[in-house]
Amino acid sequence: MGITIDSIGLFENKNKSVKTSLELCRRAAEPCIKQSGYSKEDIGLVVSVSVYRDDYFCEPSFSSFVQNDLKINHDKTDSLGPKTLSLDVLNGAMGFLNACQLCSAMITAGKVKTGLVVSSDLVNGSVSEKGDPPGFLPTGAAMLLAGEKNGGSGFKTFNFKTFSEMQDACESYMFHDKDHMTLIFKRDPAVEDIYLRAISVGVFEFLKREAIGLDDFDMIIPSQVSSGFITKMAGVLGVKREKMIDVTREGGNLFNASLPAAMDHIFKRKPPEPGQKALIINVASGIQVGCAVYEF
Amino acid sequence: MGLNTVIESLGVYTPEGRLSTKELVEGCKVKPVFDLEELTGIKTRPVVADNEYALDLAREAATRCFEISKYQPKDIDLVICTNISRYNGPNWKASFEPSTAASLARDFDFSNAIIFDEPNACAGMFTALYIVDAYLKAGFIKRGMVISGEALTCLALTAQKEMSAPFDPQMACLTVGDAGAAFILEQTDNPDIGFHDMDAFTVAQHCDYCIGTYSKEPHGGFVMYTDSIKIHQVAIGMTAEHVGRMVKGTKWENSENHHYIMHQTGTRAIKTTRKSINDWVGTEVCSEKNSIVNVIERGNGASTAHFVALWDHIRNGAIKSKENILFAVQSSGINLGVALYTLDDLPARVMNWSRMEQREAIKEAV
Repeated sequence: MGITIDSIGLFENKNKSVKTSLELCRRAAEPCIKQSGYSKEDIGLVVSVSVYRDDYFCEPSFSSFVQNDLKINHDKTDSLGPKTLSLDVLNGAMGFLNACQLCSAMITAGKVKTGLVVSSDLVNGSVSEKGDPPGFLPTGAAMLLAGEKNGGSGFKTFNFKTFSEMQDACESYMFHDKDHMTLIFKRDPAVEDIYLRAISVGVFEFLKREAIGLDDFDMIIPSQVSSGFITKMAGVLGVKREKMIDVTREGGNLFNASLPAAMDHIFKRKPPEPGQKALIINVASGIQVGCAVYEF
Repeated sequence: MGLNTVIESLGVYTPEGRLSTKELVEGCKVKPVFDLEELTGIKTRPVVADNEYALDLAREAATRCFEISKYQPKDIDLVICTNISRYNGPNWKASFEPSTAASLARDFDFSNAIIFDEPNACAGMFTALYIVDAYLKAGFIKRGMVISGEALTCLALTAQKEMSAPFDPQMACLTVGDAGAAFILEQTDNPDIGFHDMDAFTVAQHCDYCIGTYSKEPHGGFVMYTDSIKIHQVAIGMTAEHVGRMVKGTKWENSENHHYIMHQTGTRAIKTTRKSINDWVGTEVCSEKNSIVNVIERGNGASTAHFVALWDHIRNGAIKSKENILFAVQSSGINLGVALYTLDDLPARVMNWSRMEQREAIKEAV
C-alpha cells in the first residue's frame, strides 16, 4: 500500500494578522480537511511538528489543542467508534518529514486510516528574544495522508542521517535572563554551507543504498531555506537549477512548512504525470539530512 | 496481526538525591490546606543534583539499557525521545533545537537511525511504544528505542514560590519526581510473549486540564497548572471503560493472571481507578495484590512512571520472567492507553545486571 498526500492546506501570514500558532494551524488545516476525500471522523492521527508554539508549553501536546480546535473526534466519552490519537513530533525543521513517515507507518500497520500533519511555528512574542533572528516565516501548513490501495503512488522510501559532529551550528533555547525568560537562536554564520556539507554526504549515501541516480527523478524538493541555498544545493548535487522546486519567500526560511508548500506548488502549477518521481531533501538542526522518494 | 513486539531491554536511572513531601510542603509560601502526603501517598521522590538535567537522566538510562541489551547503538533503527522536560542547563535553560534525540546522537552512534522527539505528556513513552510497534509491523525498522529523561522537580521549586491558595492549580507540581528510562523494542516470533494488544487515543476536549509552560514571574522557571479533580474524573472514568472493554471475557479479567501498572500519580488515584475498572468489568481485574504502587518513593515520574515501576518491581523480585502485565495509561491531553503484555526473560537479565552492578560497586568501595 502506498501512502499518498490526499490534500494540503497552507496559510501564509502575510499581513501578520494571525498572532497565535493555534490559529495559524487552523487556517491551514480547515481547508486541507475540507478539500480532502475524508471526513473528520476518518482522521485517526493528528501530528503537530511545531517547535515554536503558543506560550512554548511543553504539556500537553500541541496536537491535542489542534485536535480539539478542529473538533476531530475530540469529545469521546468511551473508546468505541472512530477515535484519534494526537501527538507531537519535535525535531527542528525535520519534523514534517519525520511525521510523514510516522503516518505512513501507522497507516501501513493498520492502526489508523489517515493522518493529519500540521505545522505552525511562530515566535509569538510572549518572551523576549536574543541572538540571531528566528529566521523562519510563520506559516500554517497541513497535509492529510492516506493509504492508496493500488499502491502505485505515494511515499516510497525514507532515509535519515545525523551528523552530530556539526551539531553546534544550529541551536535554540529559552533561559532566564535577569527577570524574564528569553528565547535565543544561535546559528553559525556558515550554517548553510554546513547543511550543504551534510547533504553532499547524506543524499549520495541514500542514492547508493537505494541504487538510484539523480536522473531517475523528475524534480527535487529541497528545504526551502533560501533561494541562494537552493541554487548552491543544485551545484552540490550536480543537477540543473530548473529541477529544484523553489517556493522560497522573501524574509525567511519556510522551516517545517517547506515540504507542504513545495508540494502545494507542484500540484497547483501543473499536476504531475502519474509515475513522475520527486526526491525530497530536508535539512535540520542536529545536523540532520532526511531524504524521501515520492511518486505521483 | 503479525508478530508481537517485545521489550528487548530496559534501563532506568534515578538520581541519588531525595526530597520528601514534608520538606517540599515546608518550603511553600502558602501551604496546601490538606496533608499532601496522606492524600497522594508520596513520601519522597528522587531529585536531580544541581548540575544534573533532563538530558543527563536520558543518557544514563540509555546507557543502562544498552548494558542489558544484546544490541549496540548502531543497531538501533529508530530513536524516540519523549521527555516533557527540556530543562537542560543553568538559568532554567529549556532546549528547543536540536531535539533531545539529536543531542543524544552525540553520546551514542545513532547516525543512521531515524531520530525525533515525541513528547506527549505522561503518555509519551507509551505513545512512542505504540509508534515503534507500528514501524515494526509496517516493516520499516527491525528495532526501535524509546528514551526519556524527566527533570521535573524544578516545577515543585517554582510552585513553592508561586502557590497562592491552599488548593492551588500548581499543587500537582509538588507530586513529581525525577527519573530517566529507556527501552528497546523488537519483534518476536513467539506468540506467547510480547504485546498481545494495545490501544491509545486522545480525548482532546479536556486538553486544558493540565498545562506545563514557563513562569512569567521575575524568578523564572517552569510551571504546571492542573485541575486535578477534573482530570482525575475523566481519566479514571474513561480508563475503566477502556481497560474493561479490552479485558472483558479474556484471561486478563482475573487479577491473579497479571500485574497491573497504571500511571503513578498517587495511591488514592490508583485505588479509585482499580475499583472503577473492577466495577465496569464485574470481576476483580485489579486487586491490592496485583497493583504495582511505585509512587510512594518515586513520586510521579511523568512519562517514565510505568517503566520505572516495572524496573523497580523487577529488581525487588515482585515481577518475574514470563509473567503478564496489564498497562493502563492516563495523561493530560487527555491521552488514554491500554496494553496487554507478557514478559520474556527480561526480569532475569535485569537481575543479572543488578548483581553485576552491585559487585562493581563493592569493588570500587574496597
